[in-house]
Amino acid sequence: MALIHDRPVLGGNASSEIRVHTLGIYGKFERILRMIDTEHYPNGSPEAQKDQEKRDQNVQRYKNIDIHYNWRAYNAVADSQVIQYVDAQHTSNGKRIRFKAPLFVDATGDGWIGFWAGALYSYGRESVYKYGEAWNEWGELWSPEEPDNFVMGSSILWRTEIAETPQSFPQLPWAKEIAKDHKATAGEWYWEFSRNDLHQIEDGEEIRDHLLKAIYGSFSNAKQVAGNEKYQLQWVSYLLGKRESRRLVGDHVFTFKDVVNNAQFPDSVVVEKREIDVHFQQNLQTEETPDFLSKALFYKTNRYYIPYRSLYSQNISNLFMAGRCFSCSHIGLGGPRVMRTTGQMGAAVGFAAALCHKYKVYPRAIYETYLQEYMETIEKQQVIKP
Amino acid sequence: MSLPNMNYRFLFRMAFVAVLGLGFLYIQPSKLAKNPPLYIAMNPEYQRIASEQLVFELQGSDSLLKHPVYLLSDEQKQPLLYAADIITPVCIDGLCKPMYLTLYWSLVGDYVGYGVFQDNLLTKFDHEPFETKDYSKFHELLLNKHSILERKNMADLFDQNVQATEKITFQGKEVDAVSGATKTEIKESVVEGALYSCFTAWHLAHGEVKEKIVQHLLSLYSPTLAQAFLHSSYEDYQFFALKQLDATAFAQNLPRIQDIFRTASPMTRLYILKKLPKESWKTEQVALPFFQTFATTDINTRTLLLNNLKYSHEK
Repeated sequence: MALIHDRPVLGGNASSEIRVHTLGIYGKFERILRMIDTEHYPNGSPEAQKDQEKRDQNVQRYKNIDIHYNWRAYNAVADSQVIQYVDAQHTSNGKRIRFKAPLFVDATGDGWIGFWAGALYSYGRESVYKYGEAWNEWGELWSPEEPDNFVMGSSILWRTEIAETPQSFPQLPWAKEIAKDHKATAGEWYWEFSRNDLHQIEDGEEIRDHLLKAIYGSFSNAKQVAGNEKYQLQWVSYLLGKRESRRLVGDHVFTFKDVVNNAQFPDSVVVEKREIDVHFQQNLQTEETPDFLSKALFYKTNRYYIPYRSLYSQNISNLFMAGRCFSCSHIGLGGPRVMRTTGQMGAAVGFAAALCHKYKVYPRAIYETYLQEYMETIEKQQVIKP
Repeated sequence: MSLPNMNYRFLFRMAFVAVLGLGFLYIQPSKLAKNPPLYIAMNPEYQRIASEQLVFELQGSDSLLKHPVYLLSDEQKQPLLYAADIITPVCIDGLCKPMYLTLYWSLVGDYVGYGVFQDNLLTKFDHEPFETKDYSKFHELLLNKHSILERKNMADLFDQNVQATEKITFQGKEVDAVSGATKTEIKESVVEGALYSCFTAWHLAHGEVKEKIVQHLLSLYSPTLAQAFLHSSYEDYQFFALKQLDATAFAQNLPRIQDIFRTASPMTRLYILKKLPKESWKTEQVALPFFQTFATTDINTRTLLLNNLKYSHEK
């Protein structure tokens, strides 16, 4: 199996480059997920490094995983709705490789493989009526009457420390246009940016630069205040941690209703109990608030389940998805978008791919023909091996 | 610490019921009349109250009690506020004591104020009475719809206490405890020494009650009330009214809607732009007042204004 990854370390948002701690439960895949998840350290903590080492070592141990670090996929070509190959390029030496395979998993987050191959996808917030996702408590902030492009934003985590002696920090006129007079000596997940004229993928670099100006500018402002002399920046990520962009459409679209109804499916392969947690930009409610700060709306739930049918493409026969580009609505993404839950998706897809390989079939056939064997295989995973 | 076993739960329940019983005995029927609010964000409405009517009951979470909710109206029988007298147990570690207060909500179900029972004032868990600043902090907490308490269970709060003593170090440096940020946020938002009262009150003032009030309000939503809401100075009332308007009514109320557009938050502005029938953008007197705000409005609104330019052409 080829694992094509465009960064030098594994883990994406959980990596030591972005440093978001993993949330969610293990479901039936504790054995696998413990090898790659993180402790519940504060977001942005250098502790991410420990878990990075754990993750890389554990994955590298597997002889059947051929890891291509620093290879960025840039194209996927389908013929008769079957992906024939994915092209990738090395991010520093520019070499190219064409990966041909019977099955592909889109775990790019942004749904790139599906996008290039012509898979159906959605972006933005659906109308509240499309899937019946109203929650009167929050109305339009939760789910709008008319669909729109407001998605949850991307974040850049950052961290400060208090030095023993006073530390200088320059005034930053170039950051003023974004930070304005905002002052801050600490970051968190709510340093988040989304705007309806910006696309989280196409405008990713502008979003990143906006957040960097917000961070450096707000810290610079704070440094002018008496009492903050000893603060210094310890670390600022140079990568965006994304929450939401393209969502590929599967045979089942996971929505708010599946959560509210605690719907159980014959092919429930992912389970979660984390609240639905959907973000909006604070300046929508209070115009004066800086545009780079968000708030979260939480809908508490009992356990809910994601069916296997949300993990393969409806119209591209040999394409699975795992991660935040799985088949869901904007609200449906709110709960399971965290990394243990998306990790469950990856594990579930892995077992399905093995069965596809065994029977020489495409993903849908696992649901239609081999469901019993598939679910039994997953059930056995519940036992943690020493 | 989070109520781990059956025996513990059983004791907890028993203590709970026993205290409830005491609570009932203790309260004199005459004290069930509305207590005037200590803090109220909608005083003009409160001053006009002439009558009250029992409209539904509120079932607090984890409570055996139902709290009667009243609609408060003016002399013309126009609704003004909702209110409920609350008697609820506040429990920690299986020990419970009753808390008495009157909660007030706006007509769209948002908490706006509270009153106390003069012979049963609010107390902290060690039975110390609330100080003056505690009463205002309590109101501040209840006003915060996004309080961190929203997503917490009682059990989480128990765990908070356990973790409070833990320090975590990494590479010799002390870093925040696991949920340090959360703990600080909780501590800063609640009345010191009254975490459980705050938690219980917040969950009664928000959540289920909002849905029920809106449902009830819709059952008596008349053209008079619709106009009152649309012309109200409260943005949430304006928004509620806008939501109830159909496309025709939207066009008929345009001058007022344009006023609201100029003063409301971006969220309301965006809603108006999305809801305004596409056809109406062709009429200059409809479109122009919206476009005239372009230079001063926020960027999200600008984007929608630009998107709507295409509907302003005759083609």
